Amino acid sequence: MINDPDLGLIIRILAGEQHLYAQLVNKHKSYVYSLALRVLENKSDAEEAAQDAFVKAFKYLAGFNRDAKFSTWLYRIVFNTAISYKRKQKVKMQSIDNVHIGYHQDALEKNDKKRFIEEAIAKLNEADRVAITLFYLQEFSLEEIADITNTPANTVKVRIHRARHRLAEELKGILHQEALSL
Amino acid sequence: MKKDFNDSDQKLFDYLDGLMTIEEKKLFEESMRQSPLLQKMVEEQRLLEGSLKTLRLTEPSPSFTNNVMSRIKESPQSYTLSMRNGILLLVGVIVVSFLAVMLVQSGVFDGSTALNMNNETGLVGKYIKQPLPSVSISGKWIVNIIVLINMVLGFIILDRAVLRPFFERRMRHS
Repeated sequence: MINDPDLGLIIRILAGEQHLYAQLVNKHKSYVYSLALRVLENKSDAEEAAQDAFVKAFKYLAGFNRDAKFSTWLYRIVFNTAISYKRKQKVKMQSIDNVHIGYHQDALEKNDKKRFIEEAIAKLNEADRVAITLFYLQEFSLEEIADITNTPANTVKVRIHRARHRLAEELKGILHQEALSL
Repeated sequence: MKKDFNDSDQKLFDYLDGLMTIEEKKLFEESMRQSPLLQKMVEEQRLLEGSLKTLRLTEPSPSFTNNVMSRIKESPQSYTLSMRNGILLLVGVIVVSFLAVMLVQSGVFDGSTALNMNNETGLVGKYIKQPLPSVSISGKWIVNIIVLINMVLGFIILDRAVLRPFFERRMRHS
């Protein structure tokens, strides 16, 4: 059985101490929001999807398999919620072109390494972006990422490797353009 | 110009992630010594890895937690069985099963009721030529099935509401 640090809180929440869920939200909100943002590439949609995911997780908390890790379970909900938002977003996107707004706003934080990396990540496809985010931000294992995204571990491994390769290529391109614009 | 992801890239990442055996590592380092291009690729990828590890999380709005908690309060409560309610329900199930068994044993349900479709419906002769078979219902069997269902229900409640929370609490304290 996994020794999950969140399990104590979960048991108390299920026993009726509902207010303690705020502690779980505070602990995981940055990861949850970052993951949703990677999928949706839009700050307001990501905020809404992240909140939705937390509400869903609370609703189904009683059904959470306590042998598993809470964060893996939660991120699976976040991933699925963000994907369903993305589908809705695609329909909306036909008329409103608001993708990459988040990254353009981020671009205001100019002249740092983070900006270039973010730009390069934004150019990856959705599956690669999510895999690389989970791999580097939360340092999940390949198996855990496979579990969250419901993809075979081998595919996840290929995605991460491919994403790293593309990131290197993209960064070279971005840095080359920056150098040319100087 | 973009290159496709291939086996040599796979080896490069396996090398960076420390996923190679000693032999494979030696071979890879030997090819690195012989190929300045491969050496350059490894160095570039190492730099990128370093940058990716410095990626920071993005913070949601300051009211995020409050918004989640108020949405939870607004949404309908999910029903969870508390230990107290579980025990009460379990006692109820046991009492019902016990009473049913007592009644069966005292012979209350020994007789069987025969349902004669021919007289009840009045359809025979009118619409159906052949007489319908009469159905015999045994009360004892029905009550026995109810007792069996109750026992299964009792075991589920015992597991969900009593045993599981008890062992989890004990594990937490140990």
